[in-house]
Amino acid sequence: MNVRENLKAFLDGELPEDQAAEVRRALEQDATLRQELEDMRMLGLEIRKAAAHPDPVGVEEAIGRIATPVRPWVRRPMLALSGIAALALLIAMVGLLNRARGDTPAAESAAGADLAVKSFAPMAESSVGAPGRAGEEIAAYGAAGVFPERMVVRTADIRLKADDAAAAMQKAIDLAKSLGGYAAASGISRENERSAPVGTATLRVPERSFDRALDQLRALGEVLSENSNSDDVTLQHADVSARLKVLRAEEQQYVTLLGAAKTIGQVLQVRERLNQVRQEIESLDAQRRTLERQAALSTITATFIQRAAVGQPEPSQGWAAEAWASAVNGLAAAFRWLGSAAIFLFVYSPLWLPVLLLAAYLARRLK
Amino acid sequence: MDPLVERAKRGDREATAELVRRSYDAVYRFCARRVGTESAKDVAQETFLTACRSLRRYEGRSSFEVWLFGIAHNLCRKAKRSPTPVSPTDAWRCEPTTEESWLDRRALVEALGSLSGEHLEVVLLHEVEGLTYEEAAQVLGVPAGTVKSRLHHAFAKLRASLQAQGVTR
Repeated sequence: MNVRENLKAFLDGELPEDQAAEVRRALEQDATLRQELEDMRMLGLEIRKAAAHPDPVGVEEAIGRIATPVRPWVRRPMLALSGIAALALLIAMVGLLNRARGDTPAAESAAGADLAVKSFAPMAESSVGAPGRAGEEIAAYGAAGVFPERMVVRTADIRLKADDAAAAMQKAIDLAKSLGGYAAASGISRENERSAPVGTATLRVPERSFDRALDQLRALGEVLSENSNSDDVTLQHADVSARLKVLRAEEQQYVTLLGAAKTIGQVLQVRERLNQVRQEIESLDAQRRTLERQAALSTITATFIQRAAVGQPEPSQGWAAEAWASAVNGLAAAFRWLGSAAIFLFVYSPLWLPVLLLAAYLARRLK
Repeated sequence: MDPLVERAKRGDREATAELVRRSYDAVYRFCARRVGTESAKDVAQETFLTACRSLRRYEGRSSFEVWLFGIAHNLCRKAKRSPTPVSPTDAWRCEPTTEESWLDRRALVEALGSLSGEHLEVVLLHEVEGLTYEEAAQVLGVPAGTVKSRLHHAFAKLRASLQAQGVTR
């Protein structure tokens, strides 16, 4: 141990007895060490004498302040102002958000009640071959505030337990027909000889009757599961329609050019291009019609599982498989929920982040 | 625990006022030596306001005055961030040395001014405020061994500085 390092603590009486004894022994033998100790003692004395002792002021004022404590926001007006500013910003942002939400349905309802197909009146004369024309046309719909009514492809998948799977399936098919739709596919199957029959019907019903069809299907048995999905294809349809219009104008120009062609070479060149354009038109037209069909007629896939008769086993995948499927579904749902929460937190961060930062700042200042 | 502090903890205003009167001078001087006399009043009063707000958390593990010094130390550190410089005369007497003095006081003040903040702080706490190593450690929030080490180095530097100036008598 370095005795010299302990000299100051020895002088101050802050050393444990064993270390102090060691220092004492060293001091008896070392005159330089004794001189250092004396220098330190004198130095400490001089420091104490040199310390200023200003006359205290404000004791009664301090007592008065404690008796009537001033609120933090009064003591720190800038803090109060920043808090008010943050609150005002929050209210303004919530107001803007609500307003933005309120505007959307109004714009949509202005488009009219008919399906998108009917609303697609030509917006302007198209110029043949102009690049990005289709995109411009779509933008023009939006800018004019007359974007056609939303075109939504709706699908549903419903599983029911019924006393008689075949009868229930037939009722479902009849139901689709009564609503102006049809059964795109239907069939009955069973896993093995002992298992109960399972009937599946793919129904196409008019979009306006989608909810009614689902309601009536639910009455055909005990609902085991139900999923429905809506896919907005408005923009996709608008894009296809605009590109079609451009291509048709282009086709017309090639037809005119074909009539004016004077050499076989010119005729062949124009015809080749015309064929390409017509192929593109056919492809896009098919896409457009498919979208319109899908939007006009919704698809419901109904599965009917027959209840087990007495002595007949339930059609089951086994408890382990069901538990596995249930656990996997549960985990997937948990991840979906976490993902959604993360997205919401991120999107709403302009609202909560300033408040959080302000709160942290206030907490630090008031601590 | 001091009965007066216990009464103050229960919300007795008279006891609180008495505590302030009893400790104010020490806290004021503690602050004056660190932030200067101009700011000392505000910081000292802020120390007592903070102490009153936190009185419930005081458990008597150190003396009440040491606890107050801990609060004052933190507030002084915050106050020192302001650009106003602290005059050496706020902490030290700079008048000419009398014949009996062991060394020239101006040289001593200069040597003290050359110490780092950490070293000067332990010198003030131990030599001037009269705190033990343990109490100084509580104020600074460091182990007592650190206080011992800092004091040793502070004194070594002071001695070296004064010897270099040749002012010790």
